[in-house]
Amino acid sequence: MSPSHVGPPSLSRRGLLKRGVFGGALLALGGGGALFLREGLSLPLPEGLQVFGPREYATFQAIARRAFPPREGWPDADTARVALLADQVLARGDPLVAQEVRTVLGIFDNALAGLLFSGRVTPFSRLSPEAQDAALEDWRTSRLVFRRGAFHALRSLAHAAYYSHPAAIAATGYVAPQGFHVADAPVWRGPADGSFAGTGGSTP
Amino acid sequence: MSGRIRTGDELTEDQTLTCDVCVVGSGAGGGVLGLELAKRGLDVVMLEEGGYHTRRDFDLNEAKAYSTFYQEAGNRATDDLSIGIFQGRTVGGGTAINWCACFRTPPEILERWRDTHGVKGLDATTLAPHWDWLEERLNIREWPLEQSNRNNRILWEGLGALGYSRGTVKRNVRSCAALGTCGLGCPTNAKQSLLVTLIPEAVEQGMRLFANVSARKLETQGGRVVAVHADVLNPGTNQPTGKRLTVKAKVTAVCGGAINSPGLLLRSGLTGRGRVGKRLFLHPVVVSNARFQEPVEAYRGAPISVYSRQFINRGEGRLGWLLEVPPLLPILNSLALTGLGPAHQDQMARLPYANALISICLDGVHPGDEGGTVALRGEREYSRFKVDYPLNDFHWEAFREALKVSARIQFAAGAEQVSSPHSRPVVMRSEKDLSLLDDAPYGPLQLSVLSAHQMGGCAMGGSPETSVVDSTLRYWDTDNLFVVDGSVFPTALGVNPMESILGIAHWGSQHVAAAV
Repeated sequence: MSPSHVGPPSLSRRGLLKRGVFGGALLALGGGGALFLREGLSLPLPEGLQVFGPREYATFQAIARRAFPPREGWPDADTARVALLADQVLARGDPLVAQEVRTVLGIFDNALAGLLFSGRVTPFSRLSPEAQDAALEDWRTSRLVFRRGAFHALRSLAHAAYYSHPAAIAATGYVAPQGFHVADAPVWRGPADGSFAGTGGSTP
Repeated sequence: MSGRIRTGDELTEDQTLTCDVCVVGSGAGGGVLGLELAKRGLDVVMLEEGGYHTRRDFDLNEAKAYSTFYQEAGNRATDDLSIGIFQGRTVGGGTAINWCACFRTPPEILERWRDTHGVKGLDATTLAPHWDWLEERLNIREWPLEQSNRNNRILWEGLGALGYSRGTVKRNVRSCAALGTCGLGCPTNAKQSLLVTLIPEAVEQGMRLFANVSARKLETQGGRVVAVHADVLNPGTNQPTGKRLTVKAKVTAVCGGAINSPGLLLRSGLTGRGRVGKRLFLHPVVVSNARFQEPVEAYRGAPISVYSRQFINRGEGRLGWLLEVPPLLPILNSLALTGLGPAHQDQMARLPYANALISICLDGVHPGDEGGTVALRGEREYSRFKVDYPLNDFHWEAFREALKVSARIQFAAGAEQVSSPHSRPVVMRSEKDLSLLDDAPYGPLQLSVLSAHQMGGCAMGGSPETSVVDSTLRYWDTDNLFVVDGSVFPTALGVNPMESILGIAHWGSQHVAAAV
């Protein structure tokens, strides 16, 4: 069989993000405004947030609580401060990516979007844990590539943030090699610094 | 000429430089080219968008490494997010953060480039002396099986039990402590990346390297590149500082790798008659995750030391694959595993007992397989390109069969459980469960697909109607512009691409030098 590269029509990530925003605005004007504006969860904000606003922070942390529920020997989502770590990851990257994640979180939590996609009228962050799991599953299995992509992106960001926390790393049993990193190793920039001497391994 | 490595924080004024050759990119292509040109006494200026990170920065912090040394802070992906793309962005490029697997280009691939794509004068015999030199200089040697970690030995044993072909991998290391963290940058300089070998040598020969400098546009006049216009980036934020660097060179070599090289050409209005950005190949990868009763500790030891090409050729119209194993560091493993919540945590809690096999698919060698595309995104986009790679039944069939083969190998080696990379993993407890893979969904983002090897986008070939560069790596329509990196590959390779890029850059340097 030869590849045809003819697959089912799918909308691009950017196109759908635009549709999400504009579609939501149009629906709000058409009478769904109360749902569009329905408040999500409110959480105390940690210091140092650079990307997330209060709503995105609370939504992401709500997702993280379902991803990392309390478990003996492991930090839970609040202890690991997953949303704050995710915020820091996003702050180091392209500002447009950060903006897209904010938009996705807005759609994810939005009650009107919830109604359109799956019939729920409560913001994700205010749902019961069981209903949140069902909502996550709905995004994961959606027939829309955009929604599956959004689930994938948020899930990946949550995992990358959580497993950067020392307590979470320790809980996996992984111990990074010790004694090999030299924090004050000289940085060679050219012959004015002498001959380059950095080739070949060294074992402490 | 006094060679030196400068970084964005030092570039506080707009500057215009003149030189013989401007090399854009410091990875496997640019790094080799820079040295070869400098050795010929040419005045070389090299621009690298990423930072100058050395062993001082390689502190084995996984989160920091991905966000600092990789393209788009580790978030590069196809436009629909269906394929995650790992690609280096630092001085030394991918050679600084890859897993050290070295293969010469398979002869049948070079023959295909000649017979199907019209590439002239590039065969295994021609390249052999270049690879010989590189293997000596970078200490590329067989990694003995007895030094392989348990993760690789599982692959070796499983392949042997099933009678499949298997081999050991050559690695570019010297006095390697086998920490398992090659993907985070080598803290001991054991990895013979270009960061610690050819690039310093080129600088000693007089090459000027500017890190945190993003080439934005090639200015052309009368069929020649007359200037490279670049932005200086803040090393801390990666954002433009507002300062500019302009390089006026006799010859320009674009070496930004597949995706960034075609992206720079497109941004410069150089479309190669519509061929630039086409035939992008990603070696799409599916990961089969296994759990063993005894500790595997797949995060320690040389990451890749065993491989199999048993399934690389499955006949025309059927995508084949290379089998290897990845290192399973916590973040990487959390991303390779699918699922969410307690089930995912259960698997992470068994990390020391985890093994994974990766099936690296050989794309671009079957009729009609044109791979993906690179295109520009909106005006506001700075570092991202629109990367599309349509996945269809051709791929899903191969991924499904590859997962079956992987699970069979893992069970043959003693796995107690194997799980697929579906968004809801298919969990198998013995070989009789393999049929569960037939019932699972196959579609974008229903199955996790990754890429660590990017090729094509500026394909080499025998005609300007079908390719972007000729058989000397020269851009067809511009006399003094060359492309020297993996983007010139007309197809993927079916092996890890670093040594192929190194070899072709070493061979191609004669053509670039001759154009000065």
